[in-house]
Formats: sequence, structure tokens, C-alpha cells
Amino acid sequence: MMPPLLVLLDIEKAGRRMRLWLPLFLVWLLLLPLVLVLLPFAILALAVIGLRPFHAIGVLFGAIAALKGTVIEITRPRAAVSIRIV
Amino acid sequence: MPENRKQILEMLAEGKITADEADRLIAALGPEPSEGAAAVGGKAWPKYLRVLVEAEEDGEGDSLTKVNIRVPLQLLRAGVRLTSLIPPVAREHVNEALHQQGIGFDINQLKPENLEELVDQLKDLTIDVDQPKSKTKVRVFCE
Repeated sequence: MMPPLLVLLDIEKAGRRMRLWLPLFLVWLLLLPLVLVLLPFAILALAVIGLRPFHAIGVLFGAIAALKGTVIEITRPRAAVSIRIV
Repeated sequence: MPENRKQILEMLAEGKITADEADRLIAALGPEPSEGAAAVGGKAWPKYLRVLVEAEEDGEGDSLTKVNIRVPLQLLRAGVRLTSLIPPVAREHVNEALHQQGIGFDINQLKPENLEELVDQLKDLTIDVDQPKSKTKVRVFCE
């Protein structure tokens, strides 16, 4: 199960169109060292509040990975917004 | 195994009917529900929940607003799994709040193993809301 790698943002207003590719994989790469540093503290905190730490981390990762494939499109006469998570 | 199919096989085992008769009877029953959904209905396992909205603000054709939302059903599954992270005390508060709103639902019953049945039922779900006065159409379905 892979987390989403890109967010495609398409904004159109008054005839002007802006298309953005937001590279989420770069965000994950940047967050990775931080996550590794914080992981022991997170595991400890989850254990203290009575949750199975690895199960909780797996569930959270699963929720992020499940966002892949989400599409939100809103179209109005002179404006349109489209968000695609791939 | 469906009850009818089981009865036919039992009758065959007891020698009440021949193998040919059993074969004809089973063929007459049609495909099993698990394979029938894909074969007869032509519907595969749904992957997405779609919400389509069309609304006109002032009743004129040029002010049409369209909303198209596609949510992966995997996200629904992940959401249900997230409920397992809710501490027991918070679950009680949620249940109390639901009961106060007249919703007789126990959040503790929301388990991943029960979800597959729900998702299976979503396969045939289609909600169409058509409001002619405000010219609003809402369509919810799985694909």
C-alpha cells in the first residue's frame, strides 16, 4: 500500500487556468527523518493512552494511503476547481 | 452454500435423484450469488463512491454549479479502522451524544469485519434526489 504521491490542482477563473502538480512524495521524503526521530515518542505516547502503537500507526498510514484516487471537482459558470490525489 | 443447492446434493447423496437430475436442478437454480453478482448483473466490486450535484442558483441555465466527488471505498474502510483508535471514554461520550440526538447507534458495533457486508450492499446503492423547484439534482452511487 503506497501513500499518495501527487496532488493535481486545477484552478480556472475568468478564462485563466492554473494547473499545479504538488509532489507529495517530496513531502513524505522531507517528513521521513522527522517521523523516525519522533517515532519512539509516538509509540510511548500511544502505549500510555492505552492504544496498540503499531496497530495505531498502521491504521493512520492506511488512512493516508486510502486517500489515493480521491477526486473533487467543482465547476461554476466562470470558475472551476479540481483536486485529484494520485 | 445456498440452501436449495445443499438440498439437491443431499437428495443425490441419499440416492433419491440421479446425478443427471441433480445436474439439471443445479443448472436451473442459476449461478451462485457470489459469482452471480459479477456474471449476471455485470457489476464488479465497487471501488469508488461518487457524489454528483447539479444546482442552479437563480434558476437560469448560465448559473449552473456542478460538483463531482469521487471517494475511494478504501477510505471508508480506513475510516472505520480509525474508530478503533477512539479511546473507550470518548466512545461512551459519542454514544451518549448519538442517543441524545435520537440515533440508536452504538459506535462499538462499527468494526472492520462488519464493514465488508456494508460495502457489499453499497454495490447496488443509487440515491437520486431531484428538486425541480430549486433545480437541484443530487446523485450518489458506487462504481
